[in-house]
Amino acid sequence: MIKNYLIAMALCFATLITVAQEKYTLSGYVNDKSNGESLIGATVLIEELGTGNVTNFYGFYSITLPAGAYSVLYRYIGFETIKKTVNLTENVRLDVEMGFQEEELEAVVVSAKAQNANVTSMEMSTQELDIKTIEKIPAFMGEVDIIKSLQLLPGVSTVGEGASGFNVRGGSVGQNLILLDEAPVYNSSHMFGFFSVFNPDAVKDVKLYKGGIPAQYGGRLSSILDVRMKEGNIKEFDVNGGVGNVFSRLAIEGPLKKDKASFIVAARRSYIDILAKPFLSNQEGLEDVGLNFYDVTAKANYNISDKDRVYISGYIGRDNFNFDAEQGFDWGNKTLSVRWNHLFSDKLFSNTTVYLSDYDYSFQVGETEDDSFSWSSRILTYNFKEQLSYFLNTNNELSFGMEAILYRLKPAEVTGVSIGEVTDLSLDERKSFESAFYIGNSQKVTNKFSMQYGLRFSTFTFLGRGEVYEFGEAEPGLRKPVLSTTEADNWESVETYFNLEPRFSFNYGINATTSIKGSYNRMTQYIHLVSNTTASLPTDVWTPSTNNIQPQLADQVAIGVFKNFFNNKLEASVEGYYKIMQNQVDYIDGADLLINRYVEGDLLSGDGRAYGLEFYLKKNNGKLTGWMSYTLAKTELKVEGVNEGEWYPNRFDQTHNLTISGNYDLSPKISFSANFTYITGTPYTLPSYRYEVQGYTIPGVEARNNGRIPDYHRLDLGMRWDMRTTKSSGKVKKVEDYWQFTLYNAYGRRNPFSIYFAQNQDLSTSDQSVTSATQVAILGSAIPAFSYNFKF
Amino acid sequence: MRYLENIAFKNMVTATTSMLKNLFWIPFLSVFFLFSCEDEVVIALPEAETRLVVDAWLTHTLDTQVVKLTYSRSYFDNSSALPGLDAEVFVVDLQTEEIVPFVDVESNGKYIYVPQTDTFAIIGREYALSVTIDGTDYYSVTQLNPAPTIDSITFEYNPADAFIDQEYYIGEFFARDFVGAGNSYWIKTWKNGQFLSDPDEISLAYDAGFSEGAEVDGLVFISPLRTAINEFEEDENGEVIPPFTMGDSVYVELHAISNEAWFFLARVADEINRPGGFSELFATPLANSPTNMISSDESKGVVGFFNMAAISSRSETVREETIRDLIQ
Repeated sequence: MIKNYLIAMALCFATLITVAQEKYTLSGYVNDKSNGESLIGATVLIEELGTGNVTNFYGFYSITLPAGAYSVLYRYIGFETIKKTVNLTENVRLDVEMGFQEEELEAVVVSAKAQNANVTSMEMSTQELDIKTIEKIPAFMGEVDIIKSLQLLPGVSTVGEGASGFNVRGGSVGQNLILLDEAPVYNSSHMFGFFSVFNPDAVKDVKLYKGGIPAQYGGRLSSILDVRMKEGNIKEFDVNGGVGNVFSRLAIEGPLKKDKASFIVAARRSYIDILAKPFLSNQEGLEDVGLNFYDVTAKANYNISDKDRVYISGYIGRDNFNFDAEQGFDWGNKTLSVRWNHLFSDKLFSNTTVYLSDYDYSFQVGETEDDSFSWSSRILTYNFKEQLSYFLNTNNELSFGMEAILYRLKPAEVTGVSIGEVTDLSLDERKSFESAFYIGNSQKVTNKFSMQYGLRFSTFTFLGRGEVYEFGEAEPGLRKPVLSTTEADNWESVETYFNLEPRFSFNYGINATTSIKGSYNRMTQYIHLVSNTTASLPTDVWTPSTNNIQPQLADQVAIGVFKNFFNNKLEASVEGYYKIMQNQVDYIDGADLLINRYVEGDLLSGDGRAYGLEFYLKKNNGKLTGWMSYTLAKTELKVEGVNEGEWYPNRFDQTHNLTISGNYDLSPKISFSANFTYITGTPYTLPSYRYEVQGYTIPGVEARNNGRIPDYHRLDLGMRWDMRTTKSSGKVKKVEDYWQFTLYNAYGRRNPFSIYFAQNQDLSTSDQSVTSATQVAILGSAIPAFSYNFKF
Repeated sequence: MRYLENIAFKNMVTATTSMLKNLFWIPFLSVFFLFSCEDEVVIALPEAETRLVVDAWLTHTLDTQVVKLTYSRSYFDNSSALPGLDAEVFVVDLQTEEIVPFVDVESNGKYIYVPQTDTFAIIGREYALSVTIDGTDYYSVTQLNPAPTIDSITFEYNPADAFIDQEYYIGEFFARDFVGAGNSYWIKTWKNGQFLSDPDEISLAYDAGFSEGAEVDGLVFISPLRTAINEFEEDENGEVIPPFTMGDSVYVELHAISNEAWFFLARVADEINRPGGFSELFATPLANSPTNMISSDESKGVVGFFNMAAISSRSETVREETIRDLIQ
């Protein structure tokens, strides 16, 4: 199949090489007039031809046309449309700054503006959320949360409150690639799963790919979450901040050199530990108890010339949980990425990225030096990425590039001290190298039909130094025996994998407001998140593909109908997807996943499949905005030795998932928002029988995931109250500020997170323990919160 | 590794929740943890076939040795288990082929053997357990391993603190793991003659540490194992009872169990130690604890375990001679 695909692709590319007549290129950047931020996804339309282009992640566009005079429209949601007349007798560079729509004009402008990008664009199975929308959603503890907001969209869900990350189309948390300015973030949550690590003050754009994934992305099975940070106001200084129940936030941005360079620094810290300090300081044994989490996001960019621009972005986040001065647990991500945008010509845009991502956690216990235990684990990722876009003509945009990643996974650096005797329990560092080359083209075949096709070739090498194990066959329920152990030299290649990943999508426009889209993609995942707990945890270990663990593969097809109603005021879509996955990581019962050199012997491999239908209805304009999303889905696993080798639902199988999210602007000062979520309960394992051994009552299990916890539903309410913008004297106030009130879980439902089975084991009162089932709600009541936010 | 799962997370969480019960006003923790709540629910369970349950943990002592046979029953069935009667039960020394019969003296499914002058087993040898009941044979093989001696038990003085409102002592036993990886132990504790039988009081050692994959060989048992002999219970008012006070006694047994038995008990501890609440985030899915009994008839299931262990033990009381001075 892949061979046929290659031939077809070669033919497609061949059609590109046609003799050009006299053609010139119109190119440039589209920026926000107020702060100089580049606008991602702004439409550039050549009125005469009814065709155009969209700005890329860096706000760049390029259109090549026959010589002539054209009127060019620049459009972006919420901004005043700009019309420019261009006489194209040579290559023209036109950078455009767009201004906000005046509110009074909105009613007029809306009808004049055809926002049907969702219908006409190539993209499907993609969700984009702008930060303004996210800010309106009533959030848990009033803290604006990107990950939680994504969970309101079709095909995206979570297993419950407190669980980190998110699940996309039945995939696990570890199958999502989360990129912050191109660098991967391994743990997206603070405080287990209660808050996400992204500071909303520093985020510009959030895009989630669930399918139809372009060839430039790879490395995870289920989704790519591409988070782009703000560049920082290039015109003037801005201070943003807020005080909430959990975090205090402050962000400063401004020009380093006017219209040339700018920066943003945004920081958040939870502060309740500081408030609690006076209460704890006089409590014996509690003086040094502390829990806090913080993150700092910083970015700077410099316009070196018309053709060159560099960006440096960094992120540090940390969660600290200290039992006392010596003992505690902490974890966090650090990323640093340096990017260089270069225009080789008006048609050839290049982005070069170098990044470093570092995720680590550490854990210390032991009250004295002679008896202590310290453990740390770390994932270091070094990456070099070159991405090129060649804007061939109005009908073709070629993208190609490469990526090289070095992973250094240090699963455990452990020192145990027992009455002064030291043991080193550290496990070997696991090094591996991943690389990918890709080429893709976005082609407008006719006015109605366009395609995007590409191919990604990825390789992965598991490298020494370290012990390499060979395991025997697994007996059901038991760990695989170690047959042999050999030692690999430093940088020695132990195992190499190659994969071709074809990507294809099409859009067939039936009319201006209706289109059919379809896609196929193959994804490969070489590093695996290994977790067998109910929720994903900060301590979950990533393990590379080895001689024992095969790379995960997924093939997904999706087809959808996109239709807009009432002059594009209402967007609707229906998408169906079917996904087949190979080499899914599963575990033996009682798998020991942490600090276990033989961890590969506790892993099983199986097949997965997921399919579903996603309905989405969105209203963008007017006083009432919002969306409704409904997903009907099934996701299953098939693993030898589990459930007699039959398909069984995995932990993320949620049949129905309904979300309604709305915002109503009562007046320019007051707006209300509400969310409602209804999700089918997730599967869990029921005991079938009991028996006693040595006085302990032991549950017996006959099948995995053979029960379901009750359904989940929740209503959240929010109100935003903007303060006056003018002083009593009539002068405009310098500070823009508002209060945000939220009520999470408004009707206080005790939504089940899990059900566990236990026995009162108190054998002193009777010789028979009593078994019972208990349903746990992580959040069992309505949670009110408020925050005060300002900008000046 | 179990260190983190059992000691850190679960205990951290239980400690946190019990702390919260006492100190609910600590705002920074209460914000997150007090929202969680629990309800007892009624669940319809699938029907399960009955399995023979073998509970055979024999020791290298002069105590009466018991092989208990019962039958499994539905999970919510809180009546007593039916005994396995009229079985033929014996243990065979695989080197000498000497047979030791076990007899159900009281017809209650407890098949016993009373060692007379010497223990019936020899350290280092392999033994088989054979059970024949209702025409089906069940059997298993294990090895009798030696146990290192417990050198001492001491107590550490603690002043009253935020958790315990009076002076108390933390007990600690000292023993050294045999050199050579692959020894596994079950540490059983009695406080004032009362066996610490709670699920969170199951204490297992693999060499001197917690698990096979993280090797701590030949050392004195690491500190969390040494202090796992302390009971942290709450009284009816939610106050934490001191683990030890002056005059209390402790008796510790170190059972040298097989690696398979270690895995079985580790599984059991995982399955039955469910503190609930916020710790459910860290829970692993319910699963079976694998038996080492083999049924000659595949249609007749068997669960439970056969193990033979040498034991070392020591008892001590909290008195001035056994209290360690605090090195602050």
